[in-house]
Amino acid sequence: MTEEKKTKTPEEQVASLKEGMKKTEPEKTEPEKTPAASKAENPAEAKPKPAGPPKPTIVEQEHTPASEDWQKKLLDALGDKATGNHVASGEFTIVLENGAAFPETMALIHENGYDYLSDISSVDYSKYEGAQKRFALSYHLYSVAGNHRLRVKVFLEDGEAVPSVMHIWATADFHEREAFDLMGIVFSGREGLRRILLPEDWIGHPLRKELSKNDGNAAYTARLVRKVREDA
Amino acid sequence: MFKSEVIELNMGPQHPSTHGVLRLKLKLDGESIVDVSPEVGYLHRGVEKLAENFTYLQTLNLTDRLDYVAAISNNLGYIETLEKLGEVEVPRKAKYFRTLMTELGRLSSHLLWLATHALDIGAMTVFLYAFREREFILDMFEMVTGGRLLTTAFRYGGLKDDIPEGFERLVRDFIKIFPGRLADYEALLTKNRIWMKRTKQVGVISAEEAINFGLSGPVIRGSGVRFDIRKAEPYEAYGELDWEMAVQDGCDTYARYLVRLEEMRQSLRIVEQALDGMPEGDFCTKVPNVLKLPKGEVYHSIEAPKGELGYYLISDGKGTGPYRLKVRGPSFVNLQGLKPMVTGHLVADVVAIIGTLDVVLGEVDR
Repeated sequence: MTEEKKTKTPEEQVASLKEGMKKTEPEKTEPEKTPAASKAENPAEAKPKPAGPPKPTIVEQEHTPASEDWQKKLLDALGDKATGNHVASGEFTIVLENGAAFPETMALIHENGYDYLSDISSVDYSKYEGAQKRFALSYHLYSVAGNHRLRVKVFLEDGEAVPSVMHIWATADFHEREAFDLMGIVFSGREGLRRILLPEDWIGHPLRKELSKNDGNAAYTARLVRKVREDA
Repeated sequence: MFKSEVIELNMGPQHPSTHGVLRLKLKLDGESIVDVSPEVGYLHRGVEKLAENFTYLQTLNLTDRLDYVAAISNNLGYIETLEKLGEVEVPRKAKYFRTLMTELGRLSSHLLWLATHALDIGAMTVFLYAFREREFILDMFEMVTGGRLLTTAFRYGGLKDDIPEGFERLVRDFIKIFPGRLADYEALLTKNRIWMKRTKQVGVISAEEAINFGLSGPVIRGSGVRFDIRKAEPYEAYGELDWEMAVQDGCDTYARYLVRLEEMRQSLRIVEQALDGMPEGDFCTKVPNVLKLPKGEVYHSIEAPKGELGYYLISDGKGTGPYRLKVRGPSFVNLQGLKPMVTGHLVADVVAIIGTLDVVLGEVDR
């Protein structure tokens, strides 16, 4: 009997929480009404307000197809290796598939004049609407001679390894280590993939969306204190 | 008779020449360096994670704390990134004033570099002189923004306030004084035999290597690569003003010293022209009180005093803050140039090479 009661209580708690949530919602809307009511003394302002708040519409960034010559030239050189491309806010993006051929394609892009790797950014798309996969890597490339910028995107599932591009651009070293450290993306075919910004004995990858900004901090400090006490 | 072996030496994190908390693991054969690996992260504050919890305006405060000796440039890069995604046109007055302030920031950053670089190599006088001039610029920042180092300048769509009264006179005084002071530094250093011995043929890196290692700013221009984002992709008012890119092909520490000195001269030209041509009109366009950006992504980079400062911003279109903000700090990337530059040199040269890279650890560790 007692066990049954124990199993029921969390459900009841959830139900009561939901009720509580429902209760708080109208409470929130009420104070919004009151300032509107107080401002309603000016009849001109009172009318447009109810139309404003309800549903926030999401404005999307405008995407256009590649149109300039240098963009088409690169797309021709890549052929069907580029699975997608668009121009948004004046920035040219191409999408590549992850796989064994990935480093070769990147080397081909390097041969086409993109000799400067500005940045490798990792993104966790788990709370983003309409993303293809969990993670993405954005390689920001620049051609010093041609003065063109290019973004190469690769989408990844959790735990999927990407071939390293360190042999093409030496600068990729720190960027890949950072993506591994903070986002937990594994780069294959290179040496020295270890943490760079966080301590080596840190657990977890803080830029992942499931972790809050405080996660891992207290546990790390506790481990550190324990270690210091054991050493003493 | 004698046994020789490679020994490991830790330099930093509390070494005075590392300008912060940088630790270098040096491998030495005698006194010459075989290998080096920089250990960073002592100043990691998780700026990118914090930005995801903040609104767009609050994140501006975080950018101050990246490269804290040139906070103005960080502010500008971030605000421009927002404006690029939001597609907002900034009034011309704001553009000119932003250019002016950023160049003053560059002067202040280069003065700090000159001071500490010279001090590391042993020229104490320049340190005192350069800090005296830097004080002028910090006073101007204080007048405009209220802060001397952490400026939080500029806002989405323009400026926070109009240009304060009396600001122009301060800048005019500075323009009058500064060329003479710059000549003083040059008289102390440029033909100084000790300075030349300590910097010439030290930390050599070729143009191809510099590009491959992703170096930027004065470091890459000291290797003869004509890469300056202010010229390549002009932003703000740089396209309308008359100035020249500083390039040297010495590839060594001395060449990078000359590049930075020339940049200071050019910055002064830009400041003067921006002040003369300051347009009348609004200082800010009309923008919503609560900023929301369209769903999408944008990468924008500017020429910060240390090099290419890039922001990669992703917005989900719903929140009032960034979904993801990645900062490409020039110091972080330039630090990779340390290994090819240092290998084969003596321990004393490491001090000169760290100085010439001009790394700021706040930006490396973020």
